[in-house]
Amino acid sequence: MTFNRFIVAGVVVGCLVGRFFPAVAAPPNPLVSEKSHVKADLISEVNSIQPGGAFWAAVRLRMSPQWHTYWRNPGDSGLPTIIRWKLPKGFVAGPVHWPKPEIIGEPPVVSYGYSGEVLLLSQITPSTSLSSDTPVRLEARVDWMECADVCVPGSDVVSLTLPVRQILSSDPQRAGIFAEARADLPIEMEEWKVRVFRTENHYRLEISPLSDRFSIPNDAYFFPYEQGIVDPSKPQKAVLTDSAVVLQVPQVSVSTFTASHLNGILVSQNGWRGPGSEGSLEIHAPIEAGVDAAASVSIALILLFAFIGGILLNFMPCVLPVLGIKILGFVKNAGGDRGETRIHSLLFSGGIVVSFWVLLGVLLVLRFGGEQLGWGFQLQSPLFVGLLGILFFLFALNLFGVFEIGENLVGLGTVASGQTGRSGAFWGGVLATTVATPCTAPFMGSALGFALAANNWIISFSIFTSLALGMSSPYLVLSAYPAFIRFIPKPGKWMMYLKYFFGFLLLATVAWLLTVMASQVSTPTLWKYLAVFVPLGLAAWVYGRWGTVLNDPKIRVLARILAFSILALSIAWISTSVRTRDTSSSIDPVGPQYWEPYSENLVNEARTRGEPVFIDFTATWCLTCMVNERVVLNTDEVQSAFQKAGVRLFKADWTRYDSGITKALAEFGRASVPLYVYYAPGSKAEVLPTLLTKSIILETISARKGAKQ
Amino acid sequence: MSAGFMAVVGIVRAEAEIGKKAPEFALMDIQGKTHKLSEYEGKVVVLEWINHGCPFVKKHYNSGNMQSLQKKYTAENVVWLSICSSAKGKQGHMTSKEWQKRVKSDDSAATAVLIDEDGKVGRLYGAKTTPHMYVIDQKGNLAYMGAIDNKASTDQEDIPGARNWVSEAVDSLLAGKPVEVAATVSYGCSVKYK
Repeated sequence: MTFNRFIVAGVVVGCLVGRFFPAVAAPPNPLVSEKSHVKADLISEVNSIQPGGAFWAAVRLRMSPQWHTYWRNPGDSGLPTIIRWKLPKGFVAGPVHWPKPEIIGEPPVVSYGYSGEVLLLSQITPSTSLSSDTPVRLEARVDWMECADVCVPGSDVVSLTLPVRQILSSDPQRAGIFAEARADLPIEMEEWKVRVFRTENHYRLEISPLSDRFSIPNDAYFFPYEQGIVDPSKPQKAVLTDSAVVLQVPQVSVSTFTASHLNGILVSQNGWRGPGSEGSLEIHAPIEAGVDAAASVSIALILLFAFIGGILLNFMPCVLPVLGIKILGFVKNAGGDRGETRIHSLLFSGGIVVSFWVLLGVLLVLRFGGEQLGWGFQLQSPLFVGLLGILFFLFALNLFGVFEIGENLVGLGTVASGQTGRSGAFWGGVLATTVATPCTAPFMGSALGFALAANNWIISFSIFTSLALGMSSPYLVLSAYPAFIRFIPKPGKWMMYLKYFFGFLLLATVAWLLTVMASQVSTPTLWKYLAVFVPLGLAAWVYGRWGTVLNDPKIRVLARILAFSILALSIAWISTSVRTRDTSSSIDPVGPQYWEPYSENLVNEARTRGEPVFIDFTATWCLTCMVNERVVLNTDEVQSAFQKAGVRLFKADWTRYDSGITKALAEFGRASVPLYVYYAPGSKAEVLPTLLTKSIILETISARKGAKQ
Repeated sequence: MSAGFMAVVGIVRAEAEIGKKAPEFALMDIQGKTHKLSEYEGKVVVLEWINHGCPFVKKHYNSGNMQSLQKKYTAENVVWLSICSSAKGKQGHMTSKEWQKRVKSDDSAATAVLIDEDGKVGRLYGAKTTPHMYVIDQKGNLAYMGAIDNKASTDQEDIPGARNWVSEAVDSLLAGKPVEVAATVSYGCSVKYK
């Protein structure tokens, strides 16, 4: 009897000791209450432990009704459950495997967690040297946050003692619980392709099966592993297409870094491995640049933008001379056949439309082949710039009357001299487009970007067609109502002066093209190129003096042969000698202004440090860019405002081919320059208009814009 | 269209953005006086979303951390506004009398405790948790929003070793320097909106 009393006393003391000195010593959180609404215990799938034999254990949380605990990413509020293991020597516990969570709460505060019961699984690998005499004690300290409409922190130490045996044995009932829990764990599958695109306010996930065995799920929801990327309180919209389910996941509204990957789980009612299978698919997807899918609703708007951009393009300095010359041509024929005028206008417009198609076709083919190209890409090649320069030079000479191109030749000169000739009209349209490429009109930029980023070539071609039609619209109007020509004064001497004026305008353009070339090639090459203008001038003069129909046929033929040989030789000379030079710093830094060369790393660094950032995407061959820089960005007023506000200025020079800058442009849904981007500290990017004014910049920096009272 | 729908249903869109003007509001404090954000232009303003029932708020009040921040900065002419967006009947909501008692017993040094029962200002600022901190600069622009420090827990022991984002932001603004960390993910209990 006494012996039993001792045992009882010993047991009581032992319990008391165990109570006040828990094996896992932890400073108690005074906020943890005794009356917890969550019961934690430690269970294992096996009944006994085999040395070295890994097995599954789980911390089971049983929550009272209305109460919940949180997932590894708690969402807007709460804390994830933390498990700290205390295991015998040589034992290793793997990471926690979390079953898929539920959505808790409602906007504006939404969290991810569990209610009812949840098993947080871990795989335990026992030591290889265990004696079967001593049972093994597994212990864990579990800290969680339990919430109903109020929150209370919870904490407990849970333990489990298992015998050591040579063979693993499992309890069938227990096996059932674990199997159920495992079904809620995320799986990784290669048969599902998930692509993630960043649009303005969302991440667009395109989820499609790679195998016929699986059908597109009816619904999907994305739970991110990390906080600060996705906004849990905003809804996700799933749209089914015939090949994929497209999920729009909202970004957080305040971002200080640009996430490179989306890591998390996609949860669907349909199993990812077929009906009744696991509903949680783990993804680690890189985030690609994407055009806002919502824009697909406003494709009509994009087409309208393209059309307006096309019209405005006629007034950009690149195209204005052509417009003028063409009108001269119309005037010359004003007295003539109305029908002929109409046909000419249509052919001219046709030339424009076809050129745009050709340009787009070349762009798409090259981009498909992996080239990072955008609008104006042909001007990134100094050879093209050189040939364009020669073309304009010859035109100017033609306008000055150095030579004339006869009707029997398919000549571009027929446009310059405003003479009739149907094929001339068509080629005139081609020329107009060629000349337009250095310029980007307002509205055009976003339409271009959309067209080149769209995966659908029908959409791309529609946008380019709309752009071309916009550009042709003055001529189409003229062709529909030739009577408008009445508004132009009657032919007279003024036409000659206008021709000379346009000739000088073209020479100015040649000079500008030279500056473009200068930033693309080395100085010796530039001299080689300039040298060609002398023989060219000579060829033009020879042709004009002796190659016309007024001369003896023999002399005419000789003169023409001479002129064209010189022309051919010049072109060959240029083609072989003009190459882009290798050095990377060909761009001469713009004076004392504080522009740093664009680098994604430097921009991110500046943003993380809370500095405002301004990026100028530009190119020497882009007239709009040059104008903006001279008239707005590099003025003292704007530069001192930038300095005062501590803005880091980055210049992304696209004069020569640069895949990094092309990619950066694509991030903003653009494929052309100029593009002006401003990052206020801690904010998302703000895209500024194509045509800048000082007040736009000053307002943007001072951040008084957009304040709602 | 969605904006109209939201206006009809009474949903307020969060308008707080770093670098932009902090949204204006007018709230009554526990003494009955109305405070407008615009009347504090020229000073640094700290907004502290509060709910005394929440263990995360308790962490900072029981330890005296929040009060010492309030004392330190109000002494430097910073305006510290504690805002309670708990709806009537939900945790954290108290009558003015109860609040006054509580402010005294806590030894809170906040410039004022503002009552936002219908949650309008909370939603306007996108306040999700208690605590949720906002720092507004002297020009009235939002300079920091997010967590109070970088240790998300209810444990007082975590306070001394943590980086306090609010201190860093206010110190920078008072020294005329740019704020290094302008936004973080906040931690705490959910704000008990209506």
